[in-house]
Amino acid sequence: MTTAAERQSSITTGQAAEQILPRRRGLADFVRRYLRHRRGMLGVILILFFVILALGADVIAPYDPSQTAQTRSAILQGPSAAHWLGTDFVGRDILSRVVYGSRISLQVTVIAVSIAVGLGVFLGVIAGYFGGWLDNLVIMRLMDAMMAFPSLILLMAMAAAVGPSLNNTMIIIGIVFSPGYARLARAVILSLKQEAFFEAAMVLGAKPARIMLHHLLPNVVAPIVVLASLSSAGVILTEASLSFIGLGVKPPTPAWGSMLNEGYLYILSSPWPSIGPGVAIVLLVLGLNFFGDGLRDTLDPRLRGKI
Amino acid sequence: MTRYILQRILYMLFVAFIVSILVFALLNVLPGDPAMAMLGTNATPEELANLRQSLGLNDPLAIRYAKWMGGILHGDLGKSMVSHYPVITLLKERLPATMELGVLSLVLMLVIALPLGVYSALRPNSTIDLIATTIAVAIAATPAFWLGIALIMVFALWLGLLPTSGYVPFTDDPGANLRSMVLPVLTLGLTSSVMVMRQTRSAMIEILHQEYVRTARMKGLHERVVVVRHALRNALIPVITVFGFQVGVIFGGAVVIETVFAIPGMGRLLVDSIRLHRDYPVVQSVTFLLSFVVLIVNLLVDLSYAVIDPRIRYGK
Repeated sequence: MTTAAERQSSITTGQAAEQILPRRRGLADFVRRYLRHRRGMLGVILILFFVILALGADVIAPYDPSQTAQTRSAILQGPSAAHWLGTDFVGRDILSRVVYGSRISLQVTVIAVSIAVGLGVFLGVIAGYFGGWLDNLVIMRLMDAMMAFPSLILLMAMAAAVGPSLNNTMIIIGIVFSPGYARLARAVILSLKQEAFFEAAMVLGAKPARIMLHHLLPNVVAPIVVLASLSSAGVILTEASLSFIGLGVKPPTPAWGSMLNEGYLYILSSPWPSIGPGVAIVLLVLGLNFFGDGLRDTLDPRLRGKI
Repeated sequence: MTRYILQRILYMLFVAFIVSILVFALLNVLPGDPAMAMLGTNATPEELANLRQSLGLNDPLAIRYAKWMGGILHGDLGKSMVSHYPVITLLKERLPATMELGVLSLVLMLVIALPLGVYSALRPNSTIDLIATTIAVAIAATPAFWLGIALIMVFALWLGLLPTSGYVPFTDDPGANLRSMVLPVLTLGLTSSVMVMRQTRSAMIEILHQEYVRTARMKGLHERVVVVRHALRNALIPVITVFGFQVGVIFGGAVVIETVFAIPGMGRLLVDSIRLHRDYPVVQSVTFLLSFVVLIVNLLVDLSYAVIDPRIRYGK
């Protein structure tokens, strides 16, 4: 039977503990705070817009994106009631192609960023944890070398080697973007190695894999997520540039970059094929940038409270 | 200081070495037979074997790398598969256009970004600051080539003020040369100025809150002296980092912009070699050289830290 004094002291100890330990705020709180970030919400709306376009392309697009025109007069038309964004140089409806193009863009973003994160974090954590020659001589020098290239030129060389296609484009963009994540993950790991819990885990004899997975990785998540959303915008711009010079996604796949390539060839005849996909790219990239800003601003003070 | 310089140079050479291995590996190790790529699938086995022999593809990898590297150090970059010109001749022809584009774009980038960044920092949230930031965000979301196309549509097609594309060498006709350079330089300069402006603005804002700035102002110094000599100098350190990064971006972007504006530069050479000809020797050497140029610029950036920041000069 606990005495009043014991109960009193346990309450005080509980309160004291509450004040020392950072409160785990949880997902609901994060979402609530994010909702208040205006630019971030605008970003979410823009991204959702394109996700809906991508998922519902079959229903939303008014025409088949590969359906070419039957008459010569139907090509390179400006906007009309039948074709809201006009037609391209073989008479395909631009609006439908932009809608279907969102599938490609989102696909490239998700897969390329996943590859970049997976590869980058893996290398960064290993480099940060083990240190020594593996870190300094091999991994980080390789990352430096990759970052020394202008990324587009490195991508062109890779596309030259493996041949341009949708799948290859996603993979090589993922690879080229991974050094940024590796550096970030490594920096986080290095700072975490100073913490007490790390030394404690080592002393307790935890195996390296367990330390890395259970203790280190969760702390890496937040900055990586912010970087992922900000660099996904770069991924889209890069894929568009690659496709534009013909080394990315090849026609007739309706990717926005290659649509701009085709539009450019006929720019003296009609500006419309160049307008639709370009605006789409700008909107999606804006959305991703705003989303990333929102994430960064919402996560930042939380990070400071955590460590 | 000398130690710092030497360290940096050695480091750069080491990274350049790894870059060369990377480029070589990409083009020679990955699956894909250059001979088949050049002759097509209808080639007979003898033709393929002959081509492979003349390309030196039968030598072991290490020897091929050594030959290539040795050649580079002697100024011999091999021959184009397609035109049989020495690569170095092609480069000499193409280099002026790219350098002109790159240098002018860098200058424009600084001319736009630095004053705007400083002004925005001095008057944050003013009308000009908000306009500049909004335009910056919009430009950052725009692919450079699309901005170029948009500029062509406005200034060349609609207004008819400037040529849509093409290039006239400076020595032939300076006026026409500059006219053909306006739109490409504007495109590259604008897109790369965004990050520099943002960095300048945030660095300056942070510095203007520092105590020594307050001291300088209290000393009664002219505002311009305070801003430029005291604040901006220190703000330049992170700005120079971004500047170095943007040089790489400009060289990479030049590749696409040269395609848009039909400028016969090194970027176009690279694109055409890859896409049209699968001209491996050219691709290999041009890629390595472009990266080497970027590395050198980054080295200069590192060295300029030592000049500007006395802590680096005297410390360590």
